[in-house]
Order: sequence, then C-alpha cells, then structure tokens
Amino acid sequence: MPISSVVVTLSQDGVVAEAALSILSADPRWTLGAPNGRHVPAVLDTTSLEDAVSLTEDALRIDGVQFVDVVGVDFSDLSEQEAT
Amino acid sequence: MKRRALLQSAAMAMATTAAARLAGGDEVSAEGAEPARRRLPLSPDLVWDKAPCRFCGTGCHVEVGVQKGKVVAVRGDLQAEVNKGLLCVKGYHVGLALYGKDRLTQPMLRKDGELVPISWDEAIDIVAQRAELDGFALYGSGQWTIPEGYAGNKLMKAGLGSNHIDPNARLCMASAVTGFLSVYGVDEPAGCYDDLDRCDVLILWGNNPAEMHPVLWSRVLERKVAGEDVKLIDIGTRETRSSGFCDHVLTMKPQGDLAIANGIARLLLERGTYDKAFVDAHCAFRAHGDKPTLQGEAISFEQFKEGLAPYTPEHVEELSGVKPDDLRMLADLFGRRDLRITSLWCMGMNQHTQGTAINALVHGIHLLSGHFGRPGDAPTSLTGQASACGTVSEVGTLAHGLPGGLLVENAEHRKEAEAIWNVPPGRVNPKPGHHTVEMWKRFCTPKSQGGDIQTIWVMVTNPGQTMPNLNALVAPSRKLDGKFLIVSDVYPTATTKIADLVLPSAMWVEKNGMFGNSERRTQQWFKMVEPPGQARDDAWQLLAVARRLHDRGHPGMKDKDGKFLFDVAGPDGKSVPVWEWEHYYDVNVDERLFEEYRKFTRFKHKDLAPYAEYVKARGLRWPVIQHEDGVWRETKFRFVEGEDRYVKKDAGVQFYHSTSKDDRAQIWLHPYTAPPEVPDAEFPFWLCTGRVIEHWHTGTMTRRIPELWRSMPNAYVEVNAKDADRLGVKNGDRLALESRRGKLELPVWIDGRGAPPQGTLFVPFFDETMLVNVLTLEAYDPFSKQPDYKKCAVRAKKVVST
Repeated sequence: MPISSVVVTLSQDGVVAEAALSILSADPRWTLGAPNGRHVPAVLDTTSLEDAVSLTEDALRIDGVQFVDVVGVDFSDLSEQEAT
Repeated sequence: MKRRALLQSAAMAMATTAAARLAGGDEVSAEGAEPARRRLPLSPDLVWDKAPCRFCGTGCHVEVGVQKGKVVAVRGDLQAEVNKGLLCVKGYHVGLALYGKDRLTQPMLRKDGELVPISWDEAIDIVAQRAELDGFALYGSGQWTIPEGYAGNKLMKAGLGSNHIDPNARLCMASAVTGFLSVYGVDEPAGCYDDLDRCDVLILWGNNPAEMHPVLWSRVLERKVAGEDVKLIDIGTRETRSSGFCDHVLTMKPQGDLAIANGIARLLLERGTYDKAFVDAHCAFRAHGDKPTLQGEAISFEQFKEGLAPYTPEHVEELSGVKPDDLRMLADLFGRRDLRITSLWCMGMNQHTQGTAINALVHGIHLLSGHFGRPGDAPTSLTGQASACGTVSEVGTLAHGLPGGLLVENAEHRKEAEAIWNVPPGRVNPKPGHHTVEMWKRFCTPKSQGGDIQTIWVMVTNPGQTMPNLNALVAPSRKLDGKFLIVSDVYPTATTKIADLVLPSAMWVEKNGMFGNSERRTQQWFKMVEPPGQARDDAWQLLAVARRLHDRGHPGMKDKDGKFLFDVAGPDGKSVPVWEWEHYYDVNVDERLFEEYRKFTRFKHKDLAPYAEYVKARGLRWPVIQHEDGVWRETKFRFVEGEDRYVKKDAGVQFYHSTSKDDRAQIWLHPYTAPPEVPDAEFPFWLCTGRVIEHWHTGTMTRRIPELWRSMPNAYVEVNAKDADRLGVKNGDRLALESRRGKLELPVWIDGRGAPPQGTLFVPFFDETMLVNVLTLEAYDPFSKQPDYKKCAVRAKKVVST
C-alpha cells in the first residue's frame, strides 16, 4: 500500500485548469492540498505502485493538466519484489 | 494519529513543499508544511540519507529512507540543484532495484557447464591466478563509483603494469571526450545545467531528453509552460517524445548532422554574421592533414571558408534531407548576438563513426558565432551513465589514460603517476592497451592467431548485451580454449549467463560511493544497508585480488617502500587489513582512495575538494577551488573570467589547455563523409537502436521493478505505417530483422513512440530476451574508437506462424 507524494501542474488557462481541478477533486483516490499558483500538491494512497503510476498517467490525459511530478514514494508496506 | 494517517500527512507536507519550490519559493507558505530544510519525514521511524540516483548521468539526488535495515522510501532531494526535489519514473523506483528476488549472493564457478557455488577465498584465488598470466584485461564501467574505478586503474597500471583496462563508456561518450579534446585540449563541458535555465534557444542534436534525461527536460519545459520565450529545436533521424514539445522538428538522414553543421557555418561566413571579434580573439582553425590526428593541423580562415564552400543549403538538403529554409533558420539564430543558444547531445552524436567530427563541428558553430561563455550559451554533451564523466573521463579508466586526464604515452605524465603511486620508474606501461572493441575482438580470437586477451574481468556492466555485433565480438570467445570470462554483478545478466566465474556485488547504497555526473558534479554517499548474502563491494574485490597477488609474490603489488600498493592506515597509523571483508569498513576506504586520486586532478585543472566537502554537499562542480576565505567553491562555467579561477585577469575567455598553446579553441573543418553501411537493395532499411524511459540500459535493474517492467515488458521494432503496410504487418505481428551480422525477431509497433520516417526502423536495447546487438555494426570512430549503434542496414520480413 504505497503512498505517493505528487505535484500536479495545471495549465495557465484558468478555465481549463479549474475544470481539471474539479475532475481530480471528484476522484477519491486523489487527496489534494492547497494549490500554490498552478502547482497542486497531492497524495495518492494506492494498493500498488502500478496503480499509482496508472493514476498519474491518467491525470496527464486530463485537459488542463500539464505535468504530474512524483516527488516521493513510501513503499515500506510492500513485500519483496518479484523478479522478472 | 494512526500510522497511515501520519504517513499521508507527511506525504502531503512533502508534496506541498515541492509545489512551493516549483512555484518559485524556497520557503513554504501553505498551511501545514515545513520549510524545505526542516520538512517532516515520510514515516516517523525512517532514517534518511542522501545519495545520487543509481541510473543515468543526470545526477539527480534522492533522499533514501531506511527502516530496519531495508530501503523503504525514496524522495527527490529538495536541496539538490540538479533536480530540485523532482525525480523521473525510474528515479522514484530506484530503491526497489535493490530487491529483485534473484540477486546474486554467492560466488559461482562454471564446472561441467554449470555455475556452482564456491567460496570467496577460492574465487579471489582464481582471479589472482588469471591476473598473473599474460592477456589479463579489466572491462569496467561508467557505473563504477569513482573510488572503484580508481582502484581498478591503479591495480592494472601501477600494479600489473598493463593498460588493458577499458570501460563501457567507450560505447557511450568516448566521442564527446575526443570532441572536447580536439577543440579545447581538455574534456568535459564548459557549461552546466544552469544553461538550461538561461538559454533562449535549445537545440537537440540527435537527443531525446524527454525519455533519457527527463528531469532536465522538465526543467526546460517548466520555463516554456510558465510563458518564457524558449525556442526548442529537434534535429534527429526520428521523431521522439521530445519532438512533440519542440517548435521545430528537423528530420534528417542518418549522418546528415555533419552536413547541417557545415551548412550553418557556411551561412554564418557568407552572411558575415559570425562573431568576428570572438573568433579573432579566442579561436584558431584546424583540419586533418595527410595523416589524421586528434590535434590536426592549423589552417587559415580562408582555407576554412574554402572548405565550407560546397555546403550550400541545397547541397546540405541533398546530404541531410533538411530543407534549405530550415537550415537558414538555424543560421539566423546562430547569427544573432541577442540570443543565448544551448546545444544538447548524447548518443546520437557520440555513437557515430564520425563522432569526434560532429562533436567538434557543433562546438565549432558555437565558437564561430560567439555563443559560448555566457550562461545559456553553451555546447553541452550529456552522458548516459551515472559516473561516465567521474569514473571514466576523470579517473582515466581507459586503455590510453591515467587519472586526471593524463596519458600513458606521455613520459612526463607517467612520471607524475608513478610519483603519486610511489612505484618505481617504468612501472606504468607506455603502450596503450586495447580499447573496448579491440579487447573483445582479441578475446574472440585464438591465441595462435593473435588473440592476445585470454581473460576479461567485467565489472558493473553487461557486454553480453551491449557490445555491437555480438555474434563476432562476444559469442566466439565462449567456444575457445583458454579464454576465461569473470563477471562481477548484482543480478544474472546476459553476461553472467556465459561467464566462467561470477562474483556477487553490492550495489548503490549497499556500499559507500561517489559519482561524477554530466555537468562536472562530483557526488558522494554513504553505505545505508547491508548487501544480500555474500555480495561484496567491487572496490573490495579489486583490493582483495591485489592483496592475493601480493601474498603470492607479485612484485607489482608493492610500492617503492615495500608496502602493499593499497596500504590503508587506521587512526593509529597501523595498516588495516581491508582486503579481509570483515575489516573493509573499519576505515573509509572510499575516502582514502579518493584523497589519493585527488592529487591527480590538479594537472588538467579539474581540481576536486577534500572528501569531507562532498559529504556536506549535493555535489560540487569542478574545478573546486579553495578561496582566500577558506571556502571550497565550485565552477559553473569554465574558461570564463569571473567564473573560472584559472582564467587570467582581463582575459575574458581563456582556453588554457589550448592544443595550439596560445589559449585559443580550435574551429575544425570536417567534411561530410557517408556512413560505413547504408541501405541497399538487399538490406533496404536503416536500423537505429536506443533507450526508452521505463528502462535503464540493459534493463538488469529496471526489468526487476515490476511497475517498470509491466509498463514496458519487452523490446519491439518501431515501423513506419507505410512500411508496415508494404510489409503486411500490423501491431503485435512479428517481424524478422536481418543484417549482414545476425537475425532477430521482434513484435511490431507501428509508428511506436518515435514516428520513424519511411525506411527507418528503431529497436530499444534494454531487453535481454531480444538482443538487438546481434544486428549492429562494430565500425567505430577513428579517434574515440566508439562504435555506431545508430545506423546500419537491415532487411525485414513478416514472420508467418506455422
């Protein structure tokens, strides 16, 4: 059950950015913090790292989301990784 | 507060801090957050320490969280100038690279075709016995830490008196080095990543930073998104993820870069828009004479101009495919003094049979136009490995090199090295050893036919996957009597699978280490967790072999005073038996090796600070000079007065290692030459190889991180849609590729990420189940000896299931 710290960077177009923020706010998997300009801190609490990666990739497809930067991941609850 | 809630709160604090940093503030104002330097840990019982990321040459710093002896968290380091708290997809998974379940944990020797466990004592004995014989070579890496590379170099050159040591960086950045040497007389970039924050124009020469150096790329895009007027130009043989963000995408024919660079230079001269004052004051002109050398021969400005005369925009279009208007656009930009222009390149220009030439030509355009020496005005090469610059270029782990940029062929340099190593005069062999391709070629040749390399000890790299033309340069050795392959690594690889002896290594934060990144930044970290099983540090392995040779009476393992070559004294002045694993960490061996190595760095003005300075910093860019106030300060821009302390007062710009001995840089004339192999009726496609964002190099680490592996599980062949139609294939079909050297089947990805031009195929090399290097060409640059992985000819045919 990893916890990821991310920063979502929104578009400079205020209307589109607001719409993107609404979409993310409505998704319970996203916990959003106080925006700092166009940069919105967020936390993803997911069942796997793969889910976290998918979520960030999905977010990138939202009109109005410019970047999603992952700044930290706590994977202390993960079991040993499976080798390929 | 419950633990999970606490973790979430701490994670939000981290994200808020990073958001504030991105928004431009050093201190955090958002409620609940901490200032950057006092932020909350992600988990209250973690111990955090700093380390550079294990993967590419960008040199991002991560903070590593350790709990109960295991790495359990990583976060971008906000104190790191390189990445300012950000990481790429590989970086934030880097901690998981330690924990693949098939880590190598014990030495293994091949007996009757099978690798069977043996003791470390027996393994070290076997390596020492092989090192005593003729034909012993060490094949190292740009992923060696600086102390590891230094120990390997010293073992070979000061101990065994042999120069048969070369690194995998020969395959990735050797042409950048020879480019720098031929132009400035000393290697590595004059500028740094700060140029990315200041340039008005960024030109990518065969470079895809969106996938290969994503943190640097996001640093540039952030400026663009914020509304800054930064023009991005992509010049390459295929479109990439970087292309989508660029204002201009110039798709060229393979090898067309030589023509484009010459065409820009010609237009600058024709229009009179070159920087005459800069050129008159700081530059000279060079070309090859009858016998080409790295230094070349002086030519006049008129001869230079005459040599460029054929490169009209129309002729450049014939050679490169780039339209005359696009060439004029580039020349317009270089002709403007009010702009700041940074050029970036990596493997596209380096893995090139004219790699030295194209590197020199791009430097030449910057010099000719005066786009040099101001922040944002810089020609800058990037490296692919974490310490290609630090351990290879700087430590000199090359067949012709000595630490600090010295050369084995130079008698004065040998004398300096022998003095620092305290070994008798004549110990350092003046004859360069075999460079990488030659080393492996001779390893694959019977001794009776001139194959004078009998043993190769491979450390921290995977030549069984990365060497070009694998069927000729690796496979034959496995069938020859007397050839012995030793591999030190952390996981089973394509190379360990064919090895005679496998030694399990510690990796990354399982050991102390130092790396040197692409911008001359030397970085340090401490061991944080224990390696698994019997895995041990590579530096320890080298020292243990040296000691075993010493104990077996090898004269080279003693210095002039009769002391062990790697003698390490403890605080009480007595020797510490660091060759015994249980005593290896009684002292900081890295620090001792580094402090000795540091003595070499003054010769070429690559001065490094004492080890303790790197413990405090997130890396320092050399030359690092102690100023009058006692503070050690780094250098951002070399050769520039006010920034570089080695530049004379009032000189403005001074190329103080000039090959013409007059403080001038060399602007080269290098005519266009065709690639050594081009498509024809029999082999009609160009093949280009490279990397993808999810995987690093041969995937030995990233393919063991499930999230990355699932994102990109296997290699593929990227095919243009029209070519796919003609070949009758759709996505997922298999295509058989064949070159004059080998065959390989791959699944088809139409257009893929790269939108390849018609007639061009691309295959990534990360997948050990589909070794694309059975197809590639071993032809190499005449000066750097770096092979060309970017262009060879293949044919393609749909695989029909039976």
